[in-house]
Amino acid sequence: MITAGVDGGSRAVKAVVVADGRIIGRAVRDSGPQPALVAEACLAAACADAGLERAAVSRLAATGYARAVIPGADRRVTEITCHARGIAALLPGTRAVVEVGGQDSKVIRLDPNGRVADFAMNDRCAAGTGRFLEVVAARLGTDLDGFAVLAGAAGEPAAISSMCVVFAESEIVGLMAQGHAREALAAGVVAAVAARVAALAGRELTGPIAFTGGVARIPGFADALARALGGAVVVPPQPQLTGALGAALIAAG
Amino acid sequence: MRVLFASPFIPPEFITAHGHRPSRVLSAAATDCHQGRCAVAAGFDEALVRGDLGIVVGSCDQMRRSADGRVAPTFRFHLPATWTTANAARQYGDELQRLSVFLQRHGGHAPADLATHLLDHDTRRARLRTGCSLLPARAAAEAIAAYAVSGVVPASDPVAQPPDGRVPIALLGGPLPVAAFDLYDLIEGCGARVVLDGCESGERGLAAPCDRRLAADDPLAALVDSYFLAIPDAFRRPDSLIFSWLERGIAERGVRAVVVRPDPWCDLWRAVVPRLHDWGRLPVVLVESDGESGSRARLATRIEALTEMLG
Amino acid sequence: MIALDHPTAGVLRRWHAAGNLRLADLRFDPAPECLALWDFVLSEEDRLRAAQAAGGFIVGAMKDLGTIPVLVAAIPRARAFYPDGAWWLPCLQRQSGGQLAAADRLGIGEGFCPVRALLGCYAAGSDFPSPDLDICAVGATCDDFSAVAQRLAGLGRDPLWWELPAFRAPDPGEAAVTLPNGEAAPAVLVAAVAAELQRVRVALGRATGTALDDLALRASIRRANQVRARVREIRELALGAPYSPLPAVELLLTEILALHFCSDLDRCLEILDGVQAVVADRVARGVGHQPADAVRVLWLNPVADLRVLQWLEEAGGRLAGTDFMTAQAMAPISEDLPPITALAQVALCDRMIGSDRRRAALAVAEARPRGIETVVVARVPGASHGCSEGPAMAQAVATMGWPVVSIEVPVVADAASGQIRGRLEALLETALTRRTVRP
Ligand code: SF4
Ligand code: SF4
Repeated sequence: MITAGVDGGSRAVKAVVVADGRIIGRAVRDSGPQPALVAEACLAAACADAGLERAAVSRLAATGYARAVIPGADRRVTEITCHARGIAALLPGTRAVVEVGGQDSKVIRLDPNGRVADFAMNDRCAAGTGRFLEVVAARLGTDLDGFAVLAGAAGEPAAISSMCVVFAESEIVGLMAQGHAREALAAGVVAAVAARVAALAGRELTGPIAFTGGVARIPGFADALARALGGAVVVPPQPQLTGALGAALIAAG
Repeated sequence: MRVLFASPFIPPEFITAHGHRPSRVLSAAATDCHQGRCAVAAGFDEALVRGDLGIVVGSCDQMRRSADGRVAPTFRFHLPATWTTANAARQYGDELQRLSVFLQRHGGHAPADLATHLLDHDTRRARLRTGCSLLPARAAAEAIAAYAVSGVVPASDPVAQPPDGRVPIALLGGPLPVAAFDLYDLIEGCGARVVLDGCESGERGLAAPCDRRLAADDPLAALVDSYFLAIPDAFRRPDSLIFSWLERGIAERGVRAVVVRPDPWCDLWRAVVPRLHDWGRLPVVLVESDGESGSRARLATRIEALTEMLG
Repeated sequence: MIALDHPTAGVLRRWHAAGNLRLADLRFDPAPECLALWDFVLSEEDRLRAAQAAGGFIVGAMKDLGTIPVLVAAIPRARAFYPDGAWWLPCLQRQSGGQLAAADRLGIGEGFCPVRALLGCYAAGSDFPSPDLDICAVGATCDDFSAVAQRLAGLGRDPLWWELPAFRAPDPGEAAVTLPNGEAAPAVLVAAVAAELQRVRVALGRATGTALDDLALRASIRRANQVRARVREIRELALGAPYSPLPAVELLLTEILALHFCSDLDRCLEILDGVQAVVADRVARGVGHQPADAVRVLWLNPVADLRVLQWLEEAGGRLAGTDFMTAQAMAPISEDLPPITALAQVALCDRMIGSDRRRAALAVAEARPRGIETVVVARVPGASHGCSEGPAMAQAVATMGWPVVSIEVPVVADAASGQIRGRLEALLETALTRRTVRP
């Protein structure tokens, strides 16, 4: 059976087409103001990537913040369940999943069968989320992709003490004025966000930890997270697609 | 006179026995709260108007620290945080007696037939408690709110709801303002059902059944027992009553998860979340609502994820 | 003022090397007596650990700020300290100690005030020895502390909770007593606190195996009063002299000594004697570290970052009034009353256990004779009293026309230095302008 999953996130929409548990098509688009339209286009692109017509997809599951408005979905499932399902397929035996989303960061504990056992998400404060990284990136005169390049190029990260978006912004301005390299600041911010996510995890995470979502592609972030969590962290291939993959697998039943 | 208060620890029957009209405030501030101000505490200030009497219960900083300069005569009631000692129970009883003097000084009379008032309210609350286990959560909360605000209880007997496959949860937190009661609907829309309402405005804030013999012999002692020694709350030290109350909810109503909804500026309820994690008996989800549509979507995601996890 | 690299600041360099990194950013009073004050405060952990290793009984008193240590000092082998003093460690250590991160992991995050640092200390066994008994004042103490203390209890501690009720004025016709700070308080309130302190006294006696008799308590009160008197003298000189004879941070440290004598009462008195001699000498000679026309400031709250007090001084301000939440620890304890009653009375002098209006009125009444020109409310990040104290203070001084500014002080305030210094400077400029337009 061919199924598809669409993950309508706050920054990007991701679509995956799956046949027999394997990804055969994928696409990513910026969310924009009309996520329903973007989702349709993204799904069409993923189908094209798989060399299929949209009609070939027998079941579709939607996830992410836009899940309620994604047209044609047979199921609508939260990204918590989908990331867990995606990781269970990609990295069996994983016991915890971390995702740093645009608005929300999540730490999901899995039971030995890969099902969600418990999860924690940030409160309404943006610290520790992708939104925080975006604000910082803008302060550094770049976007999230540019931020990733900066973070990957750093030697010693600068110490960022504030996780309040407002204070962190002025701290970064101050540190730039003191001559700190943008690369060091980006790496410092990565370390600070990783610490914040680790705090979200609260109690110790046991067993293999996976890091998913688009932010996991930022070089050095997984290492920073591993340091903060005190355990090895694995990033699956194309981590931004994990939620959509999970949705596609859930669609298959 | 109308006597306004915002705490479940003030016995309305004590106020009626003095010839006043008790009314609990269950509204959040209508105007925007400034940084750091709990909407519940601010809502109390807004509700109190000239011609009322107010009782400010100092169980948290937000209430305690703002107790001056109100438009209506206001009584500051110190509610002890400790509760396992004889001193604490005595202090609560002393505060009730001081309240009695205040109520008499402001147009009330000496408490008349307190025991009868106690038994009357105990009967009303017994009806409400029955309703809590039978009615949909929102209807139960509305019935409790109506009692809290005006003393009335529904005339008809509640009808048991058939099981609907939704995940039974406990909702825990400070008072849920009446204007925020659509949270119950939202939770149901996400596949869960509040079977144990641990909001201060809900079942948790109801006094325990009163010892009828003690009520006749020593009504003040009966009030101490069913209010001060019985209502679980986040400000109490130690906070163990919350956990024993939840244990009962698990045993009697099959509660499978706890959703905690603190006011964003309430330290006391926010700090219960890690305590619940440590307790480890049930999955815990923190939801915060600042009333924006974006936050409703985030809230729904959390509760749906919970029901998917437990479904 | 000297910096850390000054040749005479060797003792502070040692503390800097031990991890108190913020010392590198601070300025210090060069008097050896003031450097000794710093050394005494910073060396408390060593004293406590040594005492515990020698079989001493260590009490972690929390949030009453001044009362329980007097009880404990009546027991020869016991010492009390304030784990909530961990409050300033994140600043002193420039966050390198990880206390706040540990508190975050325990679910007590940035929404709570820096007192949450104590959780990190308990969890890691760092910064102070694990107390043999925790004694936590709750009731009308703040929500932040109450939440932190309950979290601490959840870590397997079994604190002795005692009730410090809200302060209130006597009701009409109610029997009242006059507290050491001059306020009238209901007699029943004093009795309620005394009953709680009696409970603490019994528990302490049981835990240490030493019953606390009235004789020992009276002796302890006498010695505590010596410390309190000395702190009051220094404070009066520091705040009232024409030339500010003691920098703000050193004054804050002096007030801190009144809380628990840094767990060594005799040495504490020596240190205070030294500081007092320096200050008195400067006053006699008419010298100080600020010009005589420095703007006289009433400062509310201890600062999460000590450096901020120095920014005020660098901008041309000086302290002429303070409420560092220590008033109850400086109030004289009656030596005529039964000791527990006397302690109950000073406990009720705590300005944090009443309304904001009461606190503002007391702070203003005390500072007004010193010619206050302006008020700074230093907001403690996350503190539950933060949202209401600024407006209450503004209201309290409205008729005086003193300008008031509220500033939030993060634990390391460098990131906000532009904002904070800008506000302080504007405040002082406003005060100076008022001097010229005043009739
Ligand atoms: S919700 Fe919290 S802060 Fe607000 S009144 Fe209740 S206890 Fe106080
Ligand atoms: S600074 Fe304020 S909030 Fe923090 S412990 Fe002290 S009184 Fe409480």
